[in-house]
Amino acid sequence: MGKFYFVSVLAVLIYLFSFSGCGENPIDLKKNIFNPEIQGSLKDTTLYAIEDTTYHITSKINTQLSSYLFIGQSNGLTAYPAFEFYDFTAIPDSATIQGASLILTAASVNYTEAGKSFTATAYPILNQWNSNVDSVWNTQNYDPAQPLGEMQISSDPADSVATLDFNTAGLEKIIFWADTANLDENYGFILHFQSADFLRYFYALNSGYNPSLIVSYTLPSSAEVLKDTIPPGLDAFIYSGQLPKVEQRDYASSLFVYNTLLKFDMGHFMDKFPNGVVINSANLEVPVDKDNSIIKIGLANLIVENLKSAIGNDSVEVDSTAGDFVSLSQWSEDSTYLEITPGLDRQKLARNFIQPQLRDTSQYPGLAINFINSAASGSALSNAQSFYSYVAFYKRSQQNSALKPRLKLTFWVPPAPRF
Amino acid sequence: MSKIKYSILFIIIATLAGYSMSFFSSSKEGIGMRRYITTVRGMGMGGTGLGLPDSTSLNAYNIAGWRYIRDTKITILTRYSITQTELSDQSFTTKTGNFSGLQLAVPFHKNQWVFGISLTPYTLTDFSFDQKYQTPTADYTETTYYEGNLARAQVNLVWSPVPSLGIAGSFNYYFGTLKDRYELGFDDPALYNSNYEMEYEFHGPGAGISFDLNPIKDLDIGGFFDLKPSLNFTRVTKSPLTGITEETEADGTLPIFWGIGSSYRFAPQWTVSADYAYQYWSKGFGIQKVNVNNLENWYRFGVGIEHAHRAQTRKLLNRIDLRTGFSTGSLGYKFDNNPVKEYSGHMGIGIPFFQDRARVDVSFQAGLRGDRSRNLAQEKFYRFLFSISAGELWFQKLR
Repeated sequence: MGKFYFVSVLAVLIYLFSFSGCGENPIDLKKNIFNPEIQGSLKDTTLYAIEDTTYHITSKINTQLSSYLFIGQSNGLTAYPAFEFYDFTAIPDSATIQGASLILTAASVNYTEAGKSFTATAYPILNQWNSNVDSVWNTQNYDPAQPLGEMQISSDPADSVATLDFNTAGLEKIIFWADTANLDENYGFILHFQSADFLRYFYALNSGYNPSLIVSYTLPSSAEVLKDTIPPGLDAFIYSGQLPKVEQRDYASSLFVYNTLLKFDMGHFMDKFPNGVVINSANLEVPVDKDNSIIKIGLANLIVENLKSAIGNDSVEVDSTAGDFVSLSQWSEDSTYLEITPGLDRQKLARNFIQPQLRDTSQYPGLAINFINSAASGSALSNAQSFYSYVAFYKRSQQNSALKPRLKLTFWVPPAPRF
Repeated sequence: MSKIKYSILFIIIATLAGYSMSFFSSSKEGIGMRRYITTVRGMGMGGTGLGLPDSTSLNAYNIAGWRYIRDTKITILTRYSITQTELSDQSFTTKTGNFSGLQLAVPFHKNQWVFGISLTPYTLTDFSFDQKYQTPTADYTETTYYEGNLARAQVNLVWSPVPSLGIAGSFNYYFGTLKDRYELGFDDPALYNSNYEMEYEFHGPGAGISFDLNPIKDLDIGGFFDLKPSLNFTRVTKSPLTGITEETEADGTLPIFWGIGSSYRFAPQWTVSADYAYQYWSKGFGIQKVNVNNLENWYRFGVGIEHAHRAQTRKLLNRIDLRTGFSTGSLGYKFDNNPVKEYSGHMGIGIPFFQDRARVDVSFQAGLRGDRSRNLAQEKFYRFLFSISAGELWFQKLR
């Protein structure tokens, strides 16, 4: 027994010795000895869309958390901002309110032609509201018989502040709202107008340039006029209208929610590669009709997501998993089409979107192009959107192939198996 | 007893974990470099050993030669290799070590019956390399790993009806996995650094016979014949990117393998030997629609001579066995459409101990395989083989 054990231990020691110099892998070959048939090969291809459509979501976007308040009329959109100020605790109970003004700070973003203006009038809101998508806005929810004050909305970018001085009726309303006993009857006011031919953006609540209500008052002990700023408790913009669409285009739009849906023939592609492929990069190129698009703002929030249901489904489902999208924000060199943002997004489109769908190409639903509120935060489409943009994409029916939407794939074809 | 169990278990695991390294193991139509080691003693004598009587060390191929043992024997082998590979514009050296098999035999009826088991590496694949590609699409580096092995486990029964003859039957079980792995690395972040893996699993039974004959005094002839096994073959394709694992099953086999050898003791301490082993490698592995254009019949021919030790002597050279030899063969593969040949010189020593019931054998082999102009590469290899053969009255005490 002792001899046997001695031999076994000796063998183990030799084993450890023999492994002490194990080889250095892999070898960096200076010249390619093995041909691509053995090593696999990197290829690329262009797949043109075989189906395309525009899918419209009729529900409105909630603007209560929007960074901007829109007012005006442009490109099919009409928007009215609404406010509710209810925190008057800065004003002493003994104060006599002398005057009140609404101050709005204009954002640098707007669609205007210089030298134009329109008059906006404040009217009291009639029913309780929490956002623009509340049902109370389905009918007229303000009292046009009670103008509370007027302000001029200018298209001039130099006019960075717009002020509305409340009239006598407006002042009475402010005094009424300042009384905490009337809190339940404070529904705020809306800025309305008869007509406008531009859209102006103002900063909204929590943007850093909050709308503010400046209240002037005197105290019984003094004739000095004091001022305090009342922050808004709630704001939003109420919008309506219709996207100005033209024929033979697909649309992606922000406030009016339109999605462009595209499907590519993955089955035909995969038929050529029975052993499968690895998609290393993907790029979606979608030619744009710039004359019929408004894309000055929010382009960074134009994204591509995976479809979860068939493109022709009456109730299309999009995989809106937070963060699971890629940005479609890169203009081509000739500015004729939009493409996936270079870098990791193209890798992500390949890995997360295209490759998993190749498992069963017969079920491949396609891609959806739409706007989200913020590509940076990945907030969902249903959240507030702080811009009004829409993009008109050429449909696949275009004769010129340069105008057809297409998917460019870079893929690796594995070598044929040994057996 | 538990110490023995653990030791054997460790050795088995170590054997299966072993790898070697050669450019010529990268043939995509093959299953790796064929491994053929009769005994380390035989490897010191030019890779011979099929017809070399040995009462201490157990032969991995001529099982009938086990009839010479008188007590329970175990032989374990390991090796250490250095390979210098020369390509057209570069050369590199790799070093690897691995176990090369074990045999265990129990003579349960003195001079007549021996039962035993054996575990022998059959093929080994291990070659990994980077190739850089510049394409209109992208520049990238592809790293390829060819890895894996195939082994043969045996259960053997040896019968010696008369003192001059031994015959053996073996139940063989072949098993192993080859793995081809590819990793793509891109500089452009738009491209995903992917990897892809194809795995080939083999397992299945087979049978073999062997004989050992002493027609006249001091002359020994031995040989073996391994029938085609019936293998079950599974190809597993894995892509971490796709998350898809696909399995394809098929029937396969290994070509018939045979060998014959002889030795003659022409003086009390001098023995010469010669072996020839052959396998119909070019016929492929019985898997339909598989290209066999780059397969070639495998063979090995060797000659050797040994100066045996003398018992009860004080001279160092007479206390150990001294061996040398030469071998040549074909690797069984074509590279660049030309068969790859191998030539090597052998040296070895045997150090007996425990009154000749045990022995440590060491062999050194230096050789050349391939031709840079005909086979893309040439390899100089230096291989050290070690084996320990020990005797013990284990199991026999039960009788």
